[in-house]
Amino acid sequence: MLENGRISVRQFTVLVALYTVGTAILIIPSVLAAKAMQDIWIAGLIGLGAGLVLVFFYWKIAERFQYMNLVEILEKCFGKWIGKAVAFSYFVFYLFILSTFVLRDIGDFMLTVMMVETPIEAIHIIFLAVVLYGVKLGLETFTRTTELFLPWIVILFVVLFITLLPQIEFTNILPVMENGIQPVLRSSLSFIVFPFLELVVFLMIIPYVNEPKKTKKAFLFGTALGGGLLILIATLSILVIGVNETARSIYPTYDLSKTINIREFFQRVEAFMALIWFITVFVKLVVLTYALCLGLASVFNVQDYKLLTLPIGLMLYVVSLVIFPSSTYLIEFTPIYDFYAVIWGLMPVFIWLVSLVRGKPV
Amino acid sequence: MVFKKRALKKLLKDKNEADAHPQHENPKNEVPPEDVLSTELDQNVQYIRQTFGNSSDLSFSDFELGHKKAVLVYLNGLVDKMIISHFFENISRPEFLIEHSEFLTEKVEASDFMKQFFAPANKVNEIQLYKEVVTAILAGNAVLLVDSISHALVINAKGWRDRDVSESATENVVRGPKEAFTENIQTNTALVRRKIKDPRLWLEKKEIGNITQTSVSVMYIHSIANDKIVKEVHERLDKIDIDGILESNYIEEFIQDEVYTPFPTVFNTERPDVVAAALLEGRIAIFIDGTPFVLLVPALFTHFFQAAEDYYQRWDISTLLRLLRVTAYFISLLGPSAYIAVINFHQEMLPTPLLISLAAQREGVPFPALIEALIMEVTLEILREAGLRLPKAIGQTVSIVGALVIGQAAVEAGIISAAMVIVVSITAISNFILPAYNMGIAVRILRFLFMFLAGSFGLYGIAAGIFALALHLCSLRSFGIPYMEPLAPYIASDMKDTLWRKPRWKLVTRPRLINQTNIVRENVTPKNK
Amino acid sequence: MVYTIISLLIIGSILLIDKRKFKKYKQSRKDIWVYFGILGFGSCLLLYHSSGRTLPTPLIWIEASLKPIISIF
Repeated sequence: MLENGRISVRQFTVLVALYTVGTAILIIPSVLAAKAMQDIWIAGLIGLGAGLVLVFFYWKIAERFQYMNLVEILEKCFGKWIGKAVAFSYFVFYLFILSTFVLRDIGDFMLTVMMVETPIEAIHIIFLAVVLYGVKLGLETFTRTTELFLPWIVILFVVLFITLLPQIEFTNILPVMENGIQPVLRSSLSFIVFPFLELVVFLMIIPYVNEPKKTKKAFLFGTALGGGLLILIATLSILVIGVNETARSIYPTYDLSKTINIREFFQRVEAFMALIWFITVFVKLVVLTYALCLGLASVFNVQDYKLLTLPIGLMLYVVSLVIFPSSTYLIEFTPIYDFYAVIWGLMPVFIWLVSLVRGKPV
Repeated sequence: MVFKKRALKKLLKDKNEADAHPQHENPKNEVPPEDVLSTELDQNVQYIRQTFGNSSDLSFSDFELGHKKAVLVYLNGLVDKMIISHFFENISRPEFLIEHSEFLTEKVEASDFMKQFFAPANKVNEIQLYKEVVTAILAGNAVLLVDSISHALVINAKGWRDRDVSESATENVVRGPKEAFTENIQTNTALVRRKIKDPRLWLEKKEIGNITQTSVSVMYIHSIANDKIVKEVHERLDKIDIDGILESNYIEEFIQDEVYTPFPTVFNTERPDVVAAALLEGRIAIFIDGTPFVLLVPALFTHFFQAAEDYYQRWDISTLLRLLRVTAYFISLLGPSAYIAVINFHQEMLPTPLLISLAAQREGVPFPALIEALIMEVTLEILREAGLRLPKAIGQTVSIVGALVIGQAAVEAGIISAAMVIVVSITAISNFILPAYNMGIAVRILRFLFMFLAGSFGLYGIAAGIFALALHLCSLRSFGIPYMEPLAPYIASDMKDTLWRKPRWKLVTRPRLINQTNIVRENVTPKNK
Repeated sequence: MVYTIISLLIIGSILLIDKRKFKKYKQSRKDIWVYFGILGFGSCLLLYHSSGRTLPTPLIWIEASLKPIISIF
């Protein structure tokens, strides 16, 4: 057994919720607002609904394969060697790339808005060092840490919400469905890709919940919680800073918290609000890196996944520095990436369908 | 370095081999004749003298018991002089000889006689091995050797000066019991027994330390304490192989789960009421002879924020005080680093008037904020340590020098900004608010790390530091119990008495992870609700 | 140049941190091979990057392989 630790169902819920919020919290309002405009909340709800269905399928896969982890599932389906090859490419070409995106996100954010003069390398090293420390301490420890952070996120969110209440303008979300349903559906599609498709990584963690049978509710509830939070933030940014501002901004949530101003005293607290984002990104990257290490260790039959933590961290570091040559490239690449992520994200679902059709008992 | 390690390993190996193959390999029951007391008094006395290397505090009182020569051996200072003089008074009475003439004439075994004579008053044991004689003398007994008898009598004459039970010096309360433990283990265990009058309060004694032979007692309430943890404590204590135990920290460092951490995972206290309360929660106390500090395990993070007085005051007040402590803990950890981060990287976070005033103060200061903070913090730590070690009379001088000369003068000279002095002072005072001294020290160390992080990465560095700290805290365990319990893993039923304290009638259950069998601790009927 | 030295320091510290683990894995050579395989590849990339040359982003391969498929839609 690669992982001896066990987490509780409650801890699993928290992990899923914070992972879902993850990097999405800062970017999702502008992604959604780009096409859905003021109907962001409808797009969000549709996306969340579809996301929940997707998560349900992910859980079904885990259930059908008796709560094995992803590598074991693939090995079961394709046979040992092909399964290993598929799993290897899954981890290297999807989860690894995803992890570098997440790491690069934090670097870009810091560079753009908070610390313009600090080299991105230093920012990446600091963040990665903490993340790798967490992965080395193991699943149980970083899950407990996530639990410890939950109240802070809740508090910060409540503060953000309450302090923004006076500035809400309901006219911002009117008129409803101005351009018909199509742009709404299209933007909800990108909401599914990011972040719900990324929840596939929890196929690596479900096996280590102490009661895997009860994870269905937890998985769905965690996703709904995280997704709900995202929709709330997206709607809030439309309500407060308006559609155009939201769509044009790179980090609308950050701009949102900039507008907090209560009696000229409680203002300019966006750095604290960035803390929400640090925490959720941290959780997301820890989970991803953990899954990556565990998966690769499983592929290579290494006894202890912790051995691979630092080399994989080094790879993450290098690749995260070169992944986007320029910001225009990122914009250009996004549609391709969506397609790419859909392929990988839906692959387990296809495997499950095939195994259902073949009807072979597992 | 490598060579040293190897040499040490070889030494240890030799020692283990020597332990494994003792030189005299005898079956247990057969004692070699040279170890048994001889019938010659002189020979016995000679042996004891040699063993103790003619130590000057070893007393040999020669006297005649009837027609036999006898010697009473004891260590000065360890025995009660009253008992010894009483003994001599008794045997030198004229009536003594008359009363016991049969012994003198009929040659009754002296040992039988002595037993009869002393039995009611003191515990008297009969021993016949040299080793036992030596142990008995070291334990503070008087040993009576009589000529032509190959047995010795141990007369319990223990009695040395101890500090009286006095008020606690380190954990003061306004309301609540004032007594504190002393250096004597028997007094200490008795203090707890007086509070918990139940036969289920079990006490298990062992001797640790090859040379010091220090008594260590493990105390717990059977049926409340978790048997697994009790077993674990015993196992860890049995593994200790050291020459001497002088203070409870010797034990603490051996039995703690994780060595490389600034955070204490074993609780220490000198208050009997704290020990009693912990025992009732199902925790285990370890008493060590020679120190007033008793260890309590398992110790969780939240325990270090709970003062004894929290339970002697109304619950709402204790709750507020506890929250105040947690706040102070964060200030003490992050105070200077947050200031550095804001001044260096995030000036936009400050309201404009404040920013202007701070900037005006800092105008003449020649150092960056990090260096400024480091200078002040190091000065403060030096002052603090100096104040701790100095005689009380000079302590006042230190505080005057610290407050006036360094604080005020540094600001006036323009070396340090006034705001920095304020930040550092608040940080220092916040540190003192913690009831547990060792938890405060952990923060003192970490504060400097956070200052460096803040100086180089601002709030981002502080956030990264907090993540690492949280990970570290969550990775700790105390005797198998997660250190951050009940915060992480979150256990709702245990939250009632952690960062806040609910009213006493709501504290129905014992902590869940520590104790699993005997959970309910009070019977709450609607009437007394 | 400075960056190369820092990169070497990073690789060195990784080896230093994992030093204890190597002893544990003396028996299973394969694990160590995997370890040094990934680490070696990573260090090569890092040193190449730190010497001032630009590494190609792995995304171009994804782009190249997916473009034809996407253009069908």
